[in-house]
Amino acid sequence: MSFEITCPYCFRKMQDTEVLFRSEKVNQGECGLLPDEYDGIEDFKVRYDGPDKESILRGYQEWEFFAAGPDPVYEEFWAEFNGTTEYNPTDEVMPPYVKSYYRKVIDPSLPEHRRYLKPQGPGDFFIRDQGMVSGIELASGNVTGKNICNRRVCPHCHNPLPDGYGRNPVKFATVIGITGAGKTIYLSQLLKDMTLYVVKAGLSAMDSGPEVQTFLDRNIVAAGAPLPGSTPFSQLQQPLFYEMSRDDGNQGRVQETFVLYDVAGEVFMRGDAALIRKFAPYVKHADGLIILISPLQLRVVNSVMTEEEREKAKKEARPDTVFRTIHNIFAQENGNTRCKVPLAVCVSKADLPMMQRVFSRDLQDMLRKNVEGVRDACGFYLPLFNATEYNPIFNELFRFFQNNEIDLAQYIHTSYASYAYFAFTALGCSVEERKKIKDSEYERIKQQCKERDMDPPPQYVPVDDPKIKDVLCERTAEGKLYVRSFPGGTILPKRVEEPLLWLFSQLGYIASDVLIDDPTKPKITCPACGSFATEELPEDQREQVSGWWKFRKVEYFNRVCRECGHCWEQN
Amino acid sequence: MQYQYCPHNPARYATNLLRERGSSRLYWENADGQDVLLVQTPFGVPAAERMEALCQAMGKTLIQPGRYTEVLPGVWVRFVSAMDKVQMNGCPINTEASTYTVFSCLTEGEVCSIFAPQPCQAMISADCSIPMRIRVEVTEQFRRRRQGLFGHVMEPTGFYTLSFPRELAGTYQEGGLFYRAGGLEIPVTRQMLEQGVVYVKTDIRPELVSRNKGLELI
Repeated sequence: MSFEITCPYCFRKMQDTEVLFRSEKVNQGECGLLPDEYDGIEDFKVRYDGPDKESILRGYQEWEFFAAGPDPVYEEFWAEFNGTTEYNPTDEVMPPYVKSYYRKVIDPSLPEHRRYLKPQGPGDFFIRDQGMVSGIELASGNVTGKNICNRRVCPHCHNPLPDGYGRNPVKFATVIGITGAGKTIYLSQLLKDMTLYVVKAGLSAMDSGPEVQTFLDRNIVAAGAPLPGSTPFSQLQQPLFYEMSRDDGNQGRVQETFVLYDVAGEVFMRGDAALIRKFAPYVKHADGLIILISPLQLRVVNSVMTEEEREKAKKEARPDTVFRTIHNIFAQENGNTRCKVPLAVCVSKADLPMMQRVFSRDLQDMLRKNVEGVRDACGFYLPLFNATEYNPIFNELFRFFQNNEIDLAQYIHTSYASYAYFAFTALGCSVEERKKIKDSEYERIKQQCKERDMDPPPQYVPVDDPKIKDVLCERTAEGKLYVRSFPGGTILPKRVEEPLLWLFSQLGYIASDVLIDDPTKPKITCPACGSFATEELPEDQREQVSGWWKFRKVEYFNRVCRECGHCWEQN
Repeated sequence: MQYQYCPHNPARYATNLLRERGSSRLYWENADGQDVLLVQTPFGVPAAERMEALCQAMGKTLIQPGRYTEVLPGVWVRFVSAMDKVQMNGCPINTEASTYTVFSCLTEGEVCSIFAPQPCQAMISADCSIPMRIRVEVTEQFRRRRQGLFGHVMEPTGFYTLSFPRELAGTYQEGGLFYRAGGLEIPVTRQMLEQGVVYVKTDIRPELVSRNKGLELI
């Protein structure tokens, strides 16, 4: 039994028996095997003639083999993205206190590496877990006696493969945020409550690997804490891994791996071919795309903005370029056809005042509700996307884009075969800008407050706070006031999970309670009941015979209504 | 107990009040461990605008624990502790065709502070309007009249019956419903709703009209 694995970093395929391993045994510092009087191994080889020369040399070789240090293959991969973003918090708290990617990579297929491995059977060095290669055993353990190495890495790029990755089918989805759309905040809010969100679709999600927690730790969204800034666009963020499981409807469980990528929209907006080429694999191999647009990037919103809002909007770029570049990436592979990858076009920050001015009252009311799953009689969520609730929202947003952003809507319509519109707020409150009191001044203020038995003010104060003069505050290198954004009230994300649940329905994880409205297909209503839930009949069911002998009647239908069962012939 | 209405405090919030789909329960978000006050007002009238008056009225009324208490005509209140919220999975609604608003509150000694909800949250609101869909049966009344030796015919009595759902009477606001017969518009009163079935003497079929957005006639 063999498993085919697609690397989530370089997307090259491999068999599970081809994976490499990061060593548990790590040597650091100076090798203590060589006597002090020798300058190095070369000096030792030339001058030493003792009987234990061979054994010292063997020991030295082994020490060198397991020495911690940069891995050229890994370094080469990450050099494209301005350095690695891999971070494992346990590296700092567990011996040997070395970064994971500095560990020796062991290739069990190489005889010179096999020397340090313990065979598990004749010619077999692999430890298997449920049939899949999961580790190797070192002939001699590390300082703590641990000799099982189960940190698998890709043989092509030497990036880590999470525990169990490759055992289940994998789906990739990429989140692209157009500059200023709030992708980092969106992802942070989504990941924070991922398990609660996916349960609405009858799924369970478990993060596999430290990437999700690291992302959350680095991008904290909380009251009183500065909002995370934008991530450097040329850096590749670590993929976020989830093990999704669901009921297979037959007393069993289906498990799948879902990988989320966080890619900055700037990559596709600058027209920099080299930059696009680096990130193109994360679009090309995606099974689903989520693209975030800020309201300020929509032309219609400009017409209802105040002067102050318009000033800010000037900084925001139009989203068209991103859609075009993404389509071009797919076109390189598939010719000039419509991109078949499901695309969720999301308007973030839908609670901004100007969005409320342009959204219809009905849409605002619908967006105010929480996303609800479909439950069974016992109250458990069914593996269904709630299209009954979503379709009216989609239709309103579809109309909104058609009426106000027809160029964008037209482009998406002609370039993408499966898409849907969404609107959400990841914060649910306003954002206020605060200036930071200089550390030295803040210490002084704290001291003064202490002397007067008063509570000190927070170090970040509203920009227009008259009590704190700008001279007391920090400035940037350009001499501007250093300002950070803070949540202006209670943080309550709304509808952030809807694009993801829709994507799950498109990826086949779940079905939908009724047909999801598809903008690429005309809506055909049932002539009997008026329902939109109609579909084409399969070829073999189109002829329906009734009666017999002289009264035999053959009728031809090509459409059926899923609501009332009525069949008819649609021209 | 003295009640005071305080400005919004970010540390004490209660918001995102919603009716749980398919149930008659309200659910909201609040800061951990905090108690809330639910206020039921006539449909479309958020309570925040009348809180000063409401606090005064509450001070003069014995608020019953664990149930809705009418403190002003058409305005009902109910305190829900953090524990109650967990145990009841929210709080049941009193009646439909109303607007509910949730406020964070803090009781210290004999003073209960009620905190204003956060302003300017477009997609999240501390109030929630729950319409009521009602069916009012309008039936023409007939009587049997003998005709010939064995036969009989049905003939109109000149009366119509209006059958109202009984649960509407509890929170009904006068002037919310009318019936129209010919050119006349006659208001439906609370007494009529308590009665359940009302006879109207008219030859023209009466037509029900709702002037309350919270009452949807089906």
